Amino acid sequence: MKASTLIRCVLAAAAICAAPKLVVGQERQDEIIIQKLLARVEALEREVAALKQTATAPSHAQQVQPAPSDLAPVTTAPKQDTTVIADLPEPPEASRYAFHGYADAGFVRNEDGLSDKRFELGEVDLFATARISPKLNVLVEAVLETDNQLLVASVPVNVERLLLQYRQSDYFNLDIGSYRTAIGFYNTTLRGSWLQTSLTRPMLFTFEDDGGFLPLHNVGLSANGKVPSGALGLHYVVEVGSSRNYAQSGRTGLDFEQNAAVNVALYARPRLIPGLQIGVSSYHDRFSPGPGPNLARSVWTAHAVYQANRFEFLNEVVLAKFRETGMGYGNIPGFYSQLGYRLGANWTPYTRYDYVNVYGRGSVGQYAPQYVPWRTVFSGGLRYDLTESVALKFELGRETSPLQLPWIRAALQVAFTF
Amino acid sequence: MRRVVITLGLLIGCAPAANLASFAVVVHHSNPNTNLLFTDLRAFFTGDTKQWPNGSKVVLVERDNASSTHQFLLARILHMGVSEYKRRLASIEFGGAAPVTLKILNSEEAACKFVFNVPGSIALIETDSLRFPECSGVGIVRIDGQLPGQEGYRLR
Repeated sequence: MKASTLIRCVLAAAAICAAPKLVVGQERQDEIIIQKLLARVEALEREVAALKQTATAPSHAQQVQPAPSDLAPVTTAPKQDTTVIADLPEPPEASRYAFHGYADAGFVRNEDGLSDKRFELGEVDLFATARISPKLNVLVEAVLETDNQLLVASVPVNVERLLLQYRQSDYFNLDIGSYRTAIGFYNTTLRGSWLQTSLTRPMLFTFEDDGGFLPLHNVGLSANGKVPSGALGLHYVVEVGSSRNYAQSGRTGLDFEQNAAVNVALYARPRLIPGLQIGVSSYHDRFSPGPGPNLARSVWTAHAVYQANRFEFLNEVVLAKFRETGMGYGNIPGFYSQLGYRLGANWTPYTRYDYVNVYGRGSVGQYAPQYVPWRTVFSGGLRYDLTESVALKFELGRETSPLQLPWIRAALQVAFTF
Repeated sequence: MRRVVITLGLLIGCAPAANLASFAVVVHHSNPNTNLLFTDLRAFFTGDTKQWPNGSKVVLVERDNASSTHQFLLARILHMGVSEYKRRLASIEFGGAAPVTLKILNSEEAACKFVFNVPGSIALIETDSLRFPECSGVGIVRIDGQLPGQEGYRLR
């Protein structure tokens, strides 16, 4: 036998002997592949189940935007979605209750022309809103008017606003309760000292319980919203309610009567000039400043306000009329203009001029000046924002009055929000 | 002397880069409003506009005060100081109107994540942050028809 033949025989015998082992190895490989496939299928099934669960369960995002159509289909999300969804940020509306406080304290000198000087605790304005359903809100604003009362029990708590608000859309909202009348601009936007640039309010918008002649608080219904007007940005306010009287049944303070207070306001915020607001309002009710008379009161206002690009330029004109048949009439025209400009990040110097005149006929004409014991106020001041929530203010003012000689007042204030 | 020259060179070299910092506006990828006017953008962040055209609520996503993004927002878009901006938003709520829905986050990635998950949200982020994986699933908004990097883009 040749050597080559012998080698072939040996190789053939070895092949015959090794064949079963090769088959067994192939089966093992198949099993491994099958196991891998099964594991992969199980993994895919788990992933599908997780995706289904994510798609059906209400997510935080859905809480923010209730409309399901607004939610992006999860299947279109990129691969890292699962991680992102699991690490979902806190929704912005998780807190359905909001509370803010505004307060101030300061030092005044010669406030009323009587050469007094004292530290003064300002009002504490407590403001809260709560969303009780997707379209219903509650707004509460209570003010503790310290007024340097001698006794703690003497500090009046004034419920400035208590509103149940129905928000249908940007175009129709209905408020029920105690509201601040939409007379002009200042009354609807600014109250707490920290919110307003200046240290004092314009004299025209002095509150009723501080001797103001404008009806700034009513109880009733207020509808408001946008008017479809494109770039003009028109808004409306219609209010029907009862205003504060001062002399019914011997009372001198708050007394809401059925006095048919109606107010209509219209204002525009043109899109082309951000920060500009121009508006008018017309208010009518019956008013009893003292026992006996029941005057027809009308208040017309117009305002032009610009708050942008570091500027704050506020301008408002008011004409109030009081009339009663057989008792004559009284007219009170007035205006104020305030200009402020922010320097750097925190400094805002400002100046304001307030003017009012009173004239009339008959007993109403004689009585009207008692409600407006001032003529002009020229004031200037500086606001410094110490932090995001604390402001220091200094203001000087010169007042004239038909009842006394002109005087200059000064005041320092720290105003803050919390 | 040599160090001074090198330092000056670096400063001069870096200055244009700092000036060219670019910012992008991003929205949820299902949001069809991917072309906004600059005035629209400002109206969103001042709270003048609180709804998208389809009526859904606008959710503002902002960075913290210390971030360059927030500083750019205040200085170049809104022209306001920090306190002034806070007063602006507070006065909207104080006036009885619907409050601005605002979420403040401490990183660009978190802002992208939030926008990715919350339809109706809109955020301003640094353009460089678009390379983060978290920012890959959000929609980039054209401002006055321009995207970041294009000629005439205003947010830089």
